Amino acid sequence: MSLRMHSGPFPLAPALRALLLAGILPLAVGCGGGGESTGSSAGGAGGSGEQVLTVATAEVASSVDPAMAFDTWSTAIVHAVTRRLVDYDQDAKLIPDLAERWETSSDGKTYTFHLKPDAKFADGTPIEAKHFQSAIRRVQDPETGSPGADFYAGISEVEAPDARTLVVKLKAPDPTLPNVMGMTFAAPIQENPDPMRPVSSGPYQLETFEPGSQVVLKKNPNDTAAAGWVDRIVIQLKVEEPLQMTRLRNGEVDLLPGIPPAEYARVMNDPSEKDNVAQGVVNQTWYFGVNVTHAPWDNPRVREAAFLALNRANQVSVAGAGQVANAILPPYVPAYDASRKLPDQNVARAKQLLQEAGYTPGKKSVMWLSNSAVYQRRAELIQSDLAAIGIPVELRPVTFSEYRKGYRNDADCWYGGWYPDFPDAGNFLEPVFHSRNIGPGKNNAAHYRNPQVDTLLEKARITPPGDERIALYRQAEDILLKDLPWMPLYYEMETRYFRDNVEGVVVHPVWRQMLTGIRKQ
Amino acid sequence: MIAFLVKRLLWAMVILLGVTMLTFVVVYRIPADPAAMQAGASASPETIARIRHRLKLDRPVWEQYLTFLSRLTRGDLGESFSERRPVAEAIRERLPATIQLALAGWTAWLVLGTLLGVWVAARPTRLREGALLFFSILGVSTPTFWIGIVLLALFVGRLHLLPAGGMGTWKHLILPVTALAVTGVAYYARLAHSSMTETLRQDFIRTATAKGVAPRAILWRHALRNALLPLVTIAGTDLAALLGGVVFTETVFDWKGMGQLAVSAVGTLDIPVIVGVVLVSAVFVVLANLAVDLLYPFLDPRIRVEE
Repeated sequence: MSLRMHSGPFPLAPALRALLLAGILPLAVGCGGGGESTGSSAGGAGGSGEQVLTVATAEVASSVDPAMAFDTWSTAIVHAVTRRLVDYDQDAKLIPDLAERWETSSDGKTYTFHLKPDAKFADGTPIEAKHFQSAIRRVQDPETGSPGADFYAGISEVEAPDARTLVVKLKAPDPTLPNVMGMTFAAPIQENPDPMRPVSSGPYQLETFEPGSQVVLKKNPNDTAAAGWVDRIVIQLKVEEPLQMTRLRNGEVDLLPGIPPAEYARVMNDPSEKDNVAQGVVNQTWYFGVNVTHAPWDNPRVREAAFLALNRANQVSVAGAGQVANAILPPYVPAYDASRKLPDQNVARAKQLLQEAGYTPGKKSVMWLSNSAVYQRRAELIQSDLAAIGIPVELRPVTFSEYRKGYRNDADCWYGGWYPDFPDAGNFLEPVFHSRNIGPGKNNAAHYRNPQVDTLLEKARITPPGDERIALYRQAEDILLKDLPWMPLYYEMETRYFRDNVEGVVVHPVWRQMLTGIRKQ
Repeated sequence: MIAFLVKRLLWAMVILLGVTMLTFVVVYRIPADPAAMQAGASASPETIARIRHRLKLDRPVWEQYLTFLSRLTRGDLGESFSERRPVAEAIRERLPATIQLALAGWTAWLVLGTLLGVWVAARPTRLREGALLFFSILGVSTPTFWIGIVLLALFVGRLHLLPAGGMGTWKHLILPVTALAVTGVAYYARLAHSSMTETLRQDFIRTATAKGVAPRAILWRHALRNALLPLVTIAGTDLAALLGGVVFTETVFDWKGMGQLAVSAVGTLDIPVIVGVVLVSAVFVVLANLAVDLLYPFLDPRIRVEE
């Protein structure tokens, strides 16, 4: 249940980056052609024949402590240096990892996980139930101040009756507990660890961590799954986009988490670059949200008209990559219904609906958005689509942190992006549409109140995974798509860009940024 | 002299105290919540409250300020919100890189700028003066980061002569220093030129010339010393400003210095780091001003440090 605007963590940086790109890219483009100075990658200390993968990002990784890591790169690093009870395959399906199997009690309040027999930490210590117990207790401890504490608040007790059995008791039934146990917060930890030097339980282990500069991972020899993957991964932090491209061309960097906007079209239209790009849709819906208690959005017909006025395909072309959304739920949650089809833009019908609704243009609706150029352009499209049918909207671009506060504080409307913390419809829908979450600072910024939806969401939440649960969430989504407190626009698509000799790069629908499974020729 | 020093150092303390107080007021007036930034986008109000408590942001500002001051007396700048380690450690790690870049850039400004300015002033032709004026206006008005990007595109992207940013060898230093130097050299050349031209018109120069002092000695021994005076003041504060972090250059060239640290701290609202960097920069400015005052009497014996 999170929202994300890819504005990067630094308000200064995007502005600077935009200036830089505007100023110089004509020069940089075409300079490349691949300077083959293959040399050893920066920071990649190591013996001969060792394969080093160097990644550069403009962002930072603030923590490698599993209890604290929550930003993109911290999570990617903790993901690479840990294994958890469960994992996800490339289709976002939950699969066992350190847990062989698990059972749920008949009241749905007790989960028993059975651990694999011979899993070990990188130092040789067998991974036992108590290590998961330590992790959960630490995340729950208020003194830790973990950003993940909420996910584990429903756990009343964690027991380790023997080395290979973990019993998790819940205050109320929660069929998403396995998903919660799959988050990096619940990765096994040894007692009294130095939180910033966690002992690895995964395919890689931490070699050095210099916050704001660079992180180096090396392969965990005890993890057989990592055979064939690169031996070391160097993550260069805080490298601005123009420099990222230069380093990639120089062979100093092998993989970039995206293609700078100014280069995007060139790379994607160049057939010879086809094998250097990986793309994938992730669980994130971009939408236009309205406050259903504010005029004119309090009129359902105005909302319907507004949706018909929007050109969703244009949103995708301005964003560069994406997939037009025909639902509110994103593609990789079990309740997603691929057969849904929302009506395309129809200005004439929209105008007619407005007329039927007796709409007269009133005060301008204020639309909140995060103030980077990319969101500005997408929001302007909505503004002009709505202006075409006579609904006046005024943009309010503010810094990301102001936006986050502002749109949840009785705003008229806003441009938003929302993604679930794990692939579950309830985790996505409840925070933003259940009437319990209406209030200043709370996530139901649409002020959407529908007892029927509330009931469906509550019922689905305690229904075990399966067809019944899926049906309940789909019913709730049917109603939401009729009421349209959110007008879905498109699904986020992420892009990776890498050198010819890099293989195995994927955009994972759940983990997004994945450092594991990468090979080099 | 000692009394002067003591007085100035006491004043410096007052100034630094004022700087920390102002910084505190400013960062706490920002309409954004550092705890929310740490908590991640989806966090519930309870999680944010918990993090606010851990970061001690739930205490009144004055109490946080007093805690800061009492820790400061022990040389402790507090702990970074986002990096979860002592601010002093983060700054200590990044200071050498900034000092290296700042000193190299500053030396280039001073030496090249002065030489260029003095040369044009001593052998003025219309072409030279015109060229100097053109170069200084262009240099001063071109943003450093833009120059940086152009240099990168040219020397790294096209010619593959130099590393693409980062640190380590002397080669890494070339482009950032060049980017930094363009503006500074342009400015100092202009300054040195006008100061020198002015000095060369003065009576004591004419007297020296009349007495038959060799032109070279007039230029380098008599005129330069006088002409340098205004430069010293500016050079002192400029060095201090550079030491506080070469923000744009460090960002463009991925130079792991204090400027980069400051930019990311502002982005993540890492208040202890912001306050720490501001304080260290202020210390440099105060010290530089003091050094400039102490240097004056050596350059101009007519100036005495007031007792």
